[in-house]
Formats: sequence, structure tokens, C-alpha cells
Amino acid sequence: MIGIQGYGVYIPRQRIKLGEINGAWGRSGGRGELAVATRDEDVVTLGLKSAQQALAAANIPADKLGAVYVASVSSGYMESTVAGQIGYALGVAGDVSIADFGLSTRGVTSALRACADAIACGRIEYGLVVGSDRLIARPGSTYELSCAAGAAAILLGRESTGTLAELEESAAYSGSCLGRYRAEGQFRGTTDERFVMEHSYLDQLAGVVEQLSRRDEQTSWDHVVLHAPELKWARRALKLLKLKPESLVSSLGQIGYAGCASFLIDLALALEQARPDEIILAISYGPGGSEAFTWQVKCAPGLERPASAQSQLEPGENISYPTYLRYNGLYAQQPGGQT
Amino acid sequence: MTQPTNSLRGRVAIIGAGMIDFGELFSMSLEEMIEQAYLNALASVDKGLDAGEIEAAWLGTVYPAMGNTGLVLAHATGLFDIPVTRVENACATGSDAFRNASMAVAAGIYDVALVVGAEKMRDEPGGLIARSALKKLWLGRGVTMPAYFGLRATAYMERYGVGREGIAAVSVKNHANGVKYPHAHLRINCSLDEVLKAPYVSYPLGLYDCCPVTDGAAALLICRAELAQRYTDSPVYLLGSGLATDSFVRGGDLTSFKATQEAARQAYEMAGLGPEQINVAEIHDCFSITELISYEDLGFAPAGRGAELLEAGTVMLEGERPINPSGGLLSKGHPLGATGVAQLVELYEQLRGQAGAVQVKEPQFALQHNIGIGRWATGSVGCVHILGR
Amino acid sequence: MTPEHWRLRRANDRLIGFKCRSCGWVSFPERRKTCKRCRAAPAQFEEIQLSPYGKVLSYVIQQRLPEEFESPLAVAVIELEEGARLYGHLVETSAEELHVGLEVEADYRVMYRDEGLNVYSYKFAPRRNVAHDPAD
Ligand SMILES: [Zn+2]
Repeated sequence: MIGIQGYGVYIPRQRIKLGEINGAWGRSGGRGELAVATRDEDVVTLGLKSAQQALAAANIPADKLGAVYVASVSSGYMESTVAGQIGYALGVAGDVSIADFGLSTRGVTSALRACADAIACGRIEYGLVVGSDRLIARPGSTYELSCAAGAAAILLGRESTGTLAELEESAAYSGSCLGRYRAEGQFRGTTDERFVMEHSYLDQLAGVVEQLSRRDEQTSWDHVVLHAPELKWARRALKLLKLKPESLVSSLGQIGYAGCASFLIDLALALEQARPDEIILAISYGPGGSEAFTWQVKCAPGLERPASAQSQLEPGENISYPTYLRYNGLYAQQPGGQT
Repeated sequence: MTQPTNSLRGRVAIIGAGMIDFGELFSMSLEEMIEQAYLNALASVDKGLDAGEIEAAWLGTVYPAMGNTGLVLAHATGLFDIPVTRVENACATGSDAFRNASMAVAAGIYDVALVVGAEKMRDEPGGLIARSALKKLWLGRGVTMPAYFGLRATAYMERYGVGREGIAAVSVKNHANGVKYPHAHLRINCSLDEVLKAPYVSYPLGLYDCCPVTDGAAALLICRAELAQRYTDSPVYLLGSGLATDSFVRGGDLTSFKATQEAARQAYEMAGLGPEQINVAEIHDCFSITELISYEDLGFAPAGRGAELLEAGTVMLEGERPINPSGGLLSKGHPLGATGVAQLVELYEQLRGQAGAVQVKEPQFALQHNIGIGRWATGSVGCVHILGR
Repeated sequence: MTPEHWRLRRANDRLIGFKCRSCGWVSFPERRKTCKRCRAAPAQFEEIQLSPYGKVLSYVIQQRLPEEFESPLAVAVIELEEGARLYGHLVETSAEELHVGLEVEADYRVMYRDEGLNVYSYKFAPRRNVAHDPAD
């Protein structure tokens, strides 16, 4: 069996309050805050920190990794490799398999599946799956109220005494509505959100759960991770799928949405909250499809470990809106600042 | 005077010296500055010197890294057909140009040589900070000149329990001197309070702890010592010269410059003199802290006690051993290649009793010093010259 | 990736240093064949994994830098546990906690951008006892 041998989470300390963003645009209200990366952080640096923690937690040296798979929709590159950069800095050996998964936030589970398959077929012993994103929205847009930064990594390997959770079942589903899209150089947020939620998000989540039910009789899970760009989407899905509201594990309300990272951050939170033998259901979402995985918890890490996911959700250093713009490279480059 | 074959002592004489008023010289190009400094040096020769007598020339200039060859000097002065060599050695560029010219003259290769130091700083709006090599992994990486010397200041303050005011006193002294020096860029007085309250450039260094960004040029005419009387009755002789490099990666403390100490050791040994015999000095005060540390590196004060020279008045214009009567780089400005040569020009005038409002009482021996940084703020180069009547 | 960056990559991304077998001096980031402390030439250098931990020997807080750098920017002379001395930008360090002797740990960040390419290096943050090693 394949298991999670370790994980790491890195959430930047800086926070912007939604009220601060709204205030800057003459709007009132807004509860919650977003994790913001500083000017000298990007998906490589965020992802590397989470990966280093995952290896340290599992006490596995980097040269034992057979694969480093990184998922991100915000590297900013049309051509380059985030996984290659992270893998090198980790200290991987030359025979490692390096791959970048992008274009859809669903890429995080494509990476997970590829890694699990490589272990299952005996090609590699250990593989690292990293989700790292720093989402940047057009200033003033609704998306700005959810886009955040963060990274998380899980180390997969054959089940052993230190295994945190064992992979039980998985399923995939691809629907007809592809959801969000963004061309090169565009800000995210070019789609009708209600349309995307109903015909892409909810359709995919219902679809993948149905696929899962064909393989697994379970209909109730102790902890549920529903990868969603907004908390209200996840709540809608919870209701639609008739899941227990208290089973939902989500960091969206505390740090916002960090694309591929959010799925793994929430999986890490679920591990920290779980007790042995409990089952975690985790469903990814992104343009073009969803994947569902169920995990049986073996030895829960608990909340005591250093740099726990839970501890990093705590409020950090609050920054102003101008600082937020500077960190995200969004100060006007030309008079008028039209984008 | 004895002349050991392995020494420069007494073999080279300065017979002419000139510089232009330093400042923001937007109206002058690099070549125009060189041309004017050269003309001023020629005009200063007591008994006259014909351009045709100059057999070789050295140009000290830092920017740009490529293209500014000796040809620039030739074009600026018309001194074609003779050897012209460009020297670059960080802030010791000008003094190293002089050093190289002196070695060639002492070797008897040339009778008369020209040394020009010049730098166009202000055409680049960001000054030295913008020119710092910031995009270097592990080297420059954000370490600008004020940062490099500021790192020394923090370490010095920490180690010796000296406050910012101990360092700032250098700035007060040099600005007061600069008011009286006609070639200085900044001719403004500043109080200790003003130095301390000025905005930080690079904590712990504030605006008045830093030299301004300045254009300038200076020139020297030198000849074999035996020929000096042909040009003047009061030549100034080169007695000692030293140059050394160091790097912060080698270890050692951050509160002194080994490159200065080694260069000084070489120069004193060559001159057969010690620091106690020096009557006046132009030393490198690109930042206030640099001068304080240099007092100690040059042997004028024990380690950690440089500030006592300011408190006791020793280094003041009227003191026992005035340092930077010209106002130093803090007032005069620091056009890199010109700096060392301009210090020598000033000391030439001091030793000949021609320094006007900043004249020191009958000096016999004078010391010139630069400490520069290079290799993207990791290495340092020290240069020391000792002159005498 | 530029040739210059590539040549430094093992040192820069993995904190690999070289220790002189004669005098123990640690060469970082460059690998060279002569020793800068004892002048051994050629010197025998042994490859070592540097620790990500060190301490601040001195620091400045720079106020005026080109736009591409955040200012104020704290820069320190840092000595790693093995003795290598280097310049380090300090991140996540408040003015109150910054002092000579501050214990720091390496923190991988974007150092600068070069023609659209992020160039990374280790900066330093106050040591917060979070377990991680840069290269194992
Ligand atoms: Zn050695």
C-alpha cells in the first residue's frame, strides 16, 4: 500500500485583511484575511520550504527521492521548471524523475496520482508531491478577495511503521464545462463565477464522488477536503453531497485560496485533526476535472509537531494595501495603470 | 638621502600639481576635466615645463570598465605617440596610477611623466549606489558602498562601545575644513547634531557621514629626483609607497582594514619613518567611519581609540597633526580615479606652503591614504604614500 | 540560467563549501585551487556541506536602494557554523531583534530578477528552531 510518510506546509506570515482591501476600493466590510508572500518569494521558494519540512519530518534524505512533482498555476513561466529548481535545492540525486504539473489546479492530484502510480508499480521508492501557488488577482476585482499564497508537500512511499495515512481508494471525473481560464499575461478572473461554480465545480465534485462510490461503499467520511476557490463553493458542495458540515476541513477562511497548495494544506490540516483509523476524503478541483482520494489514518501527527499546518493558520503580520501591491508587483508601471 | 635599489625613497620628485574645482560638473565631459587638470598642473610648474618633455602618462579612472583606456588621456591632452596607461584599482585608482608612474620614473625609464586621475560620477543619476553590482550571487548582493562601510561602523561601535557621535565628529571636522578649501564640492558647515539627525543612508551611517557624488580631475607632473631643480626650487619627494589587498572572506576583524595596515607598513618602512613623524595627512574618509578606523590602521591611534584624536583636537586644522585639511572626501567629494591624485595635489601644496586657508604649519612629512573596495564589495585595496620636502 | 549562475549552483542552492586541509579555512561560494588564508598552492580542499545556521557579525540597514530591492533592507556579515563568512540579506527580522550576535538560519528566496528570470539564493532569518536542512 502507498502511504503519506511525511508532509510540510509553508504559509507566508504576512496577512492582508479583507477589510483593508475593501477599504482601499471604497467598499465596506469583509471578514477574514489572506496570506501574502513577500516580494522575494515565489512558487519555488514557498514550495521548497514545504518540501524541506516534509523530508525532515519523515527523516528521509533527498537523494532517496525517486520523483519530485510540483503543481502550480502561478509560476509565471511559459517555459521553465519549478520542480527542477526545488529538486536541485533539496539535494536530489541525478536519477530523480522531475515533473511540473500546471495549467489547472487539478494538477496537484495529477501529480499525486503520477507519484502514487510510480511507487505502486515499483519504479520508485519515495516521491514528493508539492503544491505551490501565489495567486495574484487584478486589483479591485472580486478575485482579489480570495487569492493567496502558500505551499504544501507530501512525501509518498510504501507503507511503513512511520506512515501517517494509507491511500485507500481513488477516482477521477472529467465533465463538460472546463471552468476558469486565463491566457498568457492575463489576470485570473475572466469567467462568470456562478456559471463556473454550478456547471464545472459542483458537476465535477458530484461526478467524482459518484465514481468513487462505484469502488467504495463508504458514504460518510470523518474529514473531508473539498478543494475550492471559495469557501461558499465548498459549502455548496458539502450540502449537495450530503456530507456532515463538521467534517469539512478548510483553510480558506483563514488564509484564502492558494491554488494547488490549498488542496495539500487542507489535507495536512485533516491529518493533524484526525485520529488513527479515521478516513479522510480529499477531492481536488480545477479546469477539466476532479480527483478523489480516500486515506486511512495510521499514526496521526497531531498538532504538536513543529510548523504544523494548524499553527501556520494563525494571524501573522498585517500589511497595508500599498505593501500588498508592492509585494505582488502590482504598482502601476505606466500612468493610469490600466491593465 | 640614501637610495636603496629596492626602494622608491627619494628617487621621484613632484614638480607640478593641479586640479579642477570638484563638484557636479554637468557642463564638463571626462575629457574636458582631464584637459583642465592637466593644464593646471602644467601652469603650476615654477620654472615651466613644455608638453613635449612629457615622456609617458598614466590615467587613473574607474568608470566605465571598458573603453576608458589611456586613449582618453591622449585625446584630452594631445599627448599622442607616447606610452599612456590606464590604471584601475578601486578607490586607490588615482594613487596607484601615481605609484606606477613613480616606479617607471624611479627605474630611469622616463625623466618626466604625467599622472591624471579623473572620474565622471554625476552623469549616472543613481551615483555609486546604482553602480554597485547588486546582481551578484554572494558577492555584491545589495552591499552598496555605504553598506560596506556601515558594516564596519556597526562592528566598530559594538566592539569599542563608541556611539554614533564618536564617528560623527569626523564629519563635523572635515566639513569645517572643506568650507575653507577652494576646490571642495561641499563647502558647508554641519554641527554634530545635524550629522546625527540627518536621514540614514545605511544605518548607522547618515547623510553627512557619506561623501557626496562628485565629478573631478587632478594631475601631477613627476620627474627623476636629480632633474627636479630644473623645474622648481622646492620640489616634493616621494619617500614611501605601499599597496596591499585583503578580503573579508579571509576572516579577521571587521573593525580595521588589513589592506591599509599592510600598505602603511610598506610605506613607512620604505620612507624610514613612523606615524609619529607625519605632520599632515590626507586620508580616505569616503565615510566618517573610514577615517576613524584609518587613524588606527595608519598608527596614529591605538585600536579602538581613534575618536580620542578628535576629542583632543590632535587632528584638527590647528592641531598637532591635522588630518584632511582639505575637508577630505566628505567635503571635497570622491570622484574615484581623481581622489588619490587630488590628495597628493593638496599635500604637494601643503609641503610647499601654498595651501592658503587650510595651510598647516610648516609640515615636513605628509601621508596620503586610500582604502578602496572592489570585487563586488568583498575585497579591499589599501594604498599609502609618504611625501617629504 | 546563465553560465555564471550555473557555475555557482552547488554552492548557491545546496550550501556546499570547500575546506582547506592545511588550515581549515572554508571557501564559499567559489571552489578554487588555492587557499586564501594559508596561501597553499595548490591547496587540498575537501567538500563540505555547510550548516544553514550562523550568526550576525555586523549589519546595516540600507535606506536607499534601486527600486528592484525592498528598502529598508538589512544586510549582515554572517559567519556560518563552519566559519564561512558571507553577506546575507535579513528577512523576517524586526529592527528590535536585530543585533550583533543574532543567530540566523538560511532562508531560500528570490535574490533578484534577471530578464524575467527569478534568481534564487539563501537569505537569512532569525533562527526559529524549525527543523530543516538545505540539502538533506
Ligand atoms: Zn589553507
